[in-house]
Order: sequence, then structure tokens, then C-alpha cells
Amino acid sequence: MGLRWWGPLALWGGVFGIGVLLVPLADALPFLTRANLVVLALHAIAAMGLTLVMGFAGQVSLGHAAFYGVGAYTTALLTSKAEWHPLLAMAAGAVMAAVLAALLGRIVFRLRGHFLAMATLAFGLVFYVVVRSWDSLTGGNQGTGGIPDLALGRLRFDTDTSMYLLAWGVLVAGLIAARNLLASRPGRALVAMGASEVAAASTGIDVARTKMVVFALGAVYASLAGSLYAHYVKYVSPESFGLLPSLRFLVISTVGGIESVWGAPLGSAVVVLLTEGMRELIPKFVSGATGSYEILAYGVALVLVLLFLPRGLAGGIAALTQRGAEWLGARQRRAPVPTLEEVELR
Amino acid sequence: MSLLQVENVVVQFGGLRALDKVSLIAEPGRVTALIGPNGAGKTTLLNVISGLMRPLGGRVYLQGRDITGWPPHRVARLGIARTFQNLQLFGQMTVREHLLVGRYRLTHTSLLEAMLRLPRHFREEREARAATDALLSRLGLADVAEWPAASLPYGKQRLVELGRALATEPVLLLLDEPTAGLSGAEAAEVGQMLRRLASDGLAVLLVEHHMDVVMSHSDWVVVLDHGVVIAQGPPAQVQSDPQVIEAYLGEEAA
Amino acid sequence: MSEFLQFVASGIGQGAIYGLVGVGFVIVYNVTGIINFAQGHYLMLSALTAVSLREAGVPAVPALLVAMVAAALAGLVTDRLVINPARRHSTLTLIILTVGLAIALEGLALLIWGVNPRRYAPFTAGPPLEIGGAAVSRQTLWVLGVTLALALALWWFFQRTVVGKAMQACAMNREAARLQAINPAQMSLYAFTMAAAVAGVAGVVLVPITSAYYDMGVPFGLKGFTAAVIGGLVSPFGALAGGLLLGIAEAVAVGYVSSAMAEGVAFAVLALMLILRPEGLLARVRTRWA
Repeated sequence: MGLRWWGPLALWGGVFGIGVLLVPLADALPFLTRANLVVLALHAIAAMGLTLVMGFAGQVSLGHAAFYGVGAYTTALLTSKAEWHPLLAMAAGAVMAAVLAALLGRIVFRLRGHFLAMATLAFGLVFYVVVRSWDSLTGGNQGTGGIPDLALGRLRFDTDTSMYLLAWGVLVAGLIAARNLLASRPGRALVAMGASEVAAASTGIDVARTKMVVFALGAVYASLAGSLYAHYVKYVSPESFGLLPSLRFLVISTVGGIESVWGAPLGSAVVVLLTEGMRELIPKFVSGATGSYEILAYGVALVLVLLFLPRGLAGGIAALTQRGAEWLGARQRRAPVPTLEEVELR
Repeated sequence: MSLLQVENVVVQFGGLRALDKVSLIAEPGRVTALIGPNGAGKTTLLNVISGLMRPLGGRVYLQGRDITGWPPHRVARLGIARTFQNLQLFGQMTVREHLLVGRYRLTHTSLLEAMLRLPRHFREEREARAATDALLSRLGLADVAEWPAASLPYGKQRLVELGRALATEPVLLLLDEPTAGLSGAEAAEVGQMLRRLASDGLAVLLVEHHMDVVMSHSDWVVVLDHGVVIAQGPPAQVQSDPQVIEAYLGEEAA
Repeated sequence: MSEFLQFVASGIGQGAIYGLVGVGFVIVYNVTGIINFAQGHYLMLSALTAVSLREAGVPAVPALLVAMVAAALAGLVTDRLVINPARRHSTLTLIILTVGLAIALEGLALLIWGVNPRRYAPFTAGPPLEIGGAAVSRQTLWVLGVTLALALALWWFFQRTVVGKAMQACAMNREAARLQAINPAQMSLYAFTMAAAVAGVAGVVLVPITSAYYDMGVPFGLKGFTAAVIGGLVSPFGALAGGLLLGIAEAVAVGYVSSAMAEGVAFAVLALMLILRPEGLLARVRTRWA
């Protein structure tokens, strides 16, 4: 950006402002509540971690909800049972998630494509099974509760609105950090690795270590969101961290646009809106329908987006603004960018 | 002590001996060409030197240091850069970004410093910009610096990959068929560029099929056939070697 | 010892099912290089379809046949509508596509059939048979019999028919196969249809043992994949053997540890296999990584 410091300030101030504006919007729409907004923000934070791992570093992770769960459970156990300060517990959760993810990344660094996907899927499921079985620690299937409000000094985040604004603030911070990363040395290394491991290695990038780092980074995003989630719902159980939540994050990232940091918030907004909208509207049109169309909708959305809008909503919007700018003569016509057929080595 | 010393390298794929006790050296200021019929093992040798493949036997030394079996990123950090036969560009990255990635081994900004925009990030970005500007002009890529590399014509893409390798400020440059797919004129330009690079002090080792480039712009030629070095010497000498001619019989001279 | 035999007896039926699902993974992977995350969902579709037809009064044999055909059709549709259009896309896209398909099928099943598991009676009534001191249920014998028959049929198909050999050729070298006028798109169609059909067969014989439920696609798919990986992903018979091994291991875990952990066994095995020996236990050639 050519503008000095007030350019980015305007941008991020604007993004935060949009978040604030969503509150009256939610009040206006009959099927959207402020509670939905909280979920929207939290899912966006977690999905952004996934976007970094998948869209930028070119890895696959079908077990992302496990890290969301690590943050949630760590916060739950440390604040309710050991009376830790919420921020410390959140940090502890992030560290745990990072370590676990780094371990995962280190172990699976040789796998690519489908095999990596399967391995992360298996990992997520193993985590789910362990949490369910380890009754003494996690409360097993019943889960664990008694999580106190998130309180920082005088501020108590005990309403939907306050929690939402906090989460949205964390989201904006996460967006800034992600954009900063991508326009820097380590960020470029990440993207390079995602594009061609062989070429990245030939410029001195330690691919195995970079994979570890990006998995850890994605896990931290998910874990922070999970910690906030625990403070919000005050009760955590394994159901929120199994396969379906992992797939939900996948849908959010993909529908929003996996190659853009804006994909996560966009995708989250769309998914939440659609889910709530469907739940509200479908029973009105189809008598006797229960509204449990969520799963089917996820699948169909995924397939349709990938077939017809592979870069997701963010990509689609970027293409539209590009066309618009060209049409207005504002920008020079760029040569069309062909999609590179992926070169699979080994 | 030579800059690069390859000693009796052996590579085996199942029952096939791809490289059989291959030895060669490379020196700064010299362009060494590696030629031979298809399947002779030339790319395999480059893969061994650059760490992509571990040899079954033999040693590779860089500036006296044994780097045999080192992983590619460690080899790269010592100053060996390479290009690839089948272009390995980075997706949608711009030309400049490719060169910036090349500076990885010369910079140190960490993840945290980058995300929090600490001073080291800004300092290194400034230096990197300056360095890449210079390199872009040198390669004639300044006018397409902000374009996605994938959208450029093939010849320019090859230059980008070369630029990425040069951005690492290597001591040894490995080029795998840098003129493949280029016209005669473009190939000659590449050849001249290689000469210039060598005279700047770089050691250049290239795998090449374009005989004009080999004969006009290299100082030393090593001929590989079926994994064995069958001849080596100055271009003119190798050109008239009967064994070399026989190896190429049936192969159309480029 | 007889306790161990009992575990074998309990696990071998499930194991054969895992193996059949795994066969589908192998066929598709070898011909197209794709891992179809929805492979287990064809099993789920045929199982639930068969149950519905039986509940509607359709006699056993036609009901089962229709269910199997339904699964095969689903495979066909997968190839035509989802895979073929995305042929040129990246691996990441293909992965997420089949994941999306799997989710969609599961969502559809939830809507059509609801959450409750359903089943129909075993093919032959009667108490379990005593074999070598272990009790083997009659349906398990059916499963084994069907698996054996399928294995023979597959062997005959791949070794003795032109199409089968063409598919093998594709697996070995796609470019060369293309030059021989073997059409990869057509081979892909056959592969997906066959893989789904095999899963469909597994589904209908499985119902009396575990019943049919809308979310059985994922566990069976994952375990089928594990079976395929144990076999090295190169041969359908490797997958069958891998499935049997996995089924027995699971039964042992259930018996000696707990049933909750048994779920985790398969996943842990998969994770370990992928990490330590991606080329499988039964493959002969060990790849060299740089």
C-alpha cells in the first residue's frame, strides 16, 4: 500500500466497524441472533488457521477441530478446576495445541495429498476417541463444565454482544497477523513450500520444519477460538470437536476461498447465515421437514463451490473487483493467469 | 581443492545403475557442461549434488566439506542453487516474489518478527527489495516484476527460475537444461549470460542438449552415457572424441 | 487359545467387510490416482436401501440386488458428475471434492432415513455354528462366502478379461496405456462403478451383523482405507488380507481392552501405517526417500 500508517488503520478500523454493524443487522434479521454472531466469529478465527495450512502452505488437515478442542478443554479444565487466570489458560491451550500440531506435522511430513488428508483425518478421530475415553480427565462423553466467565480486570465478557465483539477483535488481530506473515520472509517460504517443495528446498527452506510450524500456527488460531468458545458456552463436550466440526471448518475455508485470508470470515458468515436461514425457513416451505439439512448442505456447497467457483467467494469477489477496476480504466489489464496443472513430484 | 568435487558417485534404481562411479569437479569462473544422450543420468547427478537424492556410494564435497547425503535445504544454505528441467515455479507468485524467496538463506526474520512487524522485518525487506531490483534489471525482468510468473511466456519463466537461483547468491549454480524449449537466439543469450556469471566468479555446472551453447560457452565438457563418464575435456576435444560420437549415433545433434 | 480363536471368529466377518471396502479404494487409486473419501458411503447407501426395500415388503433377493445396483449407480454418478469435470484440478481440490461428496451423501441419508439404525434378519436363521471351539454366526459365514466369491470374480475379471487387463495397464503406466488407445476417462468410470459395486455388496451382507445407520460411511471408509494401506494399496487381494488382519486386531482390542478404545484401534493403526510404512506391510518394494 502506498499510504502510510493511516491506510492500514482505515482498513482494519473499517473491518472492525463492519463487525460492529453486524450486531444491528442480526437484530433486524428474524433468524439471526447475536449468539449466532459469536459462533460466526469463533469459527472464522479457527478457519483462518486452516486457511493458512491448506490454502497457503498447501497441506491438508481434516482434523482441525481437534485443536479447537485442545483450546476449549485446556481452558475448561484450568479455569474451572485449577482456577487459573483465563488468559494464562488460553495461552496454555495455545501452547499445547501448537506442540500437538507440531508433533503431527513432524510425523506426517513425508505424506502428501490424499495420504496426508487421511492421516490428519485419522489424527482428528484418534483425538476424539481419546477425549471420549479419558473420563477421569475430560469427563468423557459427558464433558466438563463450570467454566467461569472471561474476565479481564474490570471487563466481564458475559453477554453475547461483549463476547462477539471480543471474538471479532481477536479475528481482526488474527487477520492482521496473517497478512503480515504472508508479506514477509517466513510467509513467502510457506507459500513457496505449498507451491513446490522441491524448489522451496532448493532455496534453503527446511520443508519438514516449515510444515511443523504451519501446522502449529493453524492450531494456535483454532485453540484461541476454542478457548473463547469454552468461556462462552461454559461447558465443553467431545461432540463439538469431532469429525463434523472439522468438516465444518473445511467447508468454511473452502467456500470462503482458500487462497485468501478473507476467505475464513466470508465463509463463516455464509455458512452461519445459510445454516440458520435453512433451519428457520425450510420447515415453512417443506411440511414435516426437521431442518437438519446442515450436513447435506455442507456437502453440496463444497462440491458446487469447487466445481464452479474454485477460489471461493473471496476469489470470486477479487475477480469481480479486478474486472470492475479494469473496466473503469483504473488498472492496467493484466495477462490472464492460467491455472497451473499441479506438478506432483515423487 | 576444487569448489565442487564429486567422487565415484553410485546411484541405483532397483536393478538399474543410473550412475556408476561418476566423478567430476567444478571450479569458480568456469562453465562446466554435462552432456550425454537421454537417460544418461545427468539430472540424477544434479539431484545427488543438490541433495534431492542420496547416492548408494561415493562422495560429494563442496569447498572441501563432505555434503554427501545432506538434505536439499542444507545444501542450498551452503551456496548451491539450481534450476529444474521441468520448471518449478511458485504458483501465483509474482516475479519479484520469486526472487525474494531466493533470498531466504541470506535473511533471518522469524515468524514472530514477521507477524508483529518488528524492526528486523522492515530492515531485511528494504535490503531484499534493493537486491532484487538490481537482479531484475540485470536479467531484463524489471518491466514484468509485479506480474505473476505463471502468466509470462516460457522464455521469461526460465529467466525467473534462474533469477530465483541467483538471488540466493550461490557459489555453485546447477542448471538443468536451461535452454530447453528456447529458440536458437534465446539459447545463445542464455549462453552469454552464463559466461558473464562465470566471469563474476560463479561456478556453473549445466546439463545441456543445445550443442551450440555447449561448444561456444563452456570451458569444460563432461560426457555421460548410461551412467558412466566416457569423456571429458575442453569442448573441441570432446567434440571429436570417437566414443562420444558413437554414443550420440542415432541421436539428432541439437 | 480358544479365547483367541473366538476373537478371530468375531473379527473375521467385520474384517472381510473392511477388506471389500478397501478393494474399492485400491481399484480407484490404481486406475486414477485418487483416494475417494466417499468409498465407505456407497456401503452405507446400499445397506440402507436394502433395509428400506425389505421393510417395504420386497423379497430378499431382488431387494439386495437393487441395493447393490444403487450403490454401483452412485459410483457411476460420482465419476461422471464429480470426478470427470474436475479431472484437471489440483489434488487438493479432488480431495475436498470427494470429502464434499461423502458429506453430501451422509446428509442425504440422514434426511431420508433418520438417525436410528435399522436391520433385517440374517440370510439363514439359526444358532451360531461351532468351528474349532469358537462360535461363528451364520451371517459371518455368509459374509466370508460372499467375499470369497467376489475375490474369485475379481481375479477372473482382472486376469482374464480385456477390460480388466486394460485397467491393470492403466494402473501400471497411464501414459503408455493411453497410447494403446485405452481411454483413461472410461477406465475411471469403470473403476468408480466397480469400487462402489463392491462396497454395495459388502453393505447388504453386513446389515444383519451391525445394522445400517446413516453415519456408517466414515468408520467403514476409514477402516477400509486402513485395510487397503496395510495391503500396500497395490492389490485388491492385499486389501482383503489387510481387512482380515484389521478385523481380528479390532476384535482382540475389544476383548482385552474395551470397546470404546476399539474404535481408536483402527485409526491408530492407520496413522501408524501411513507414518511408518506407507507402502504397506505386504508390498515387496520399499521406496527410497532422498
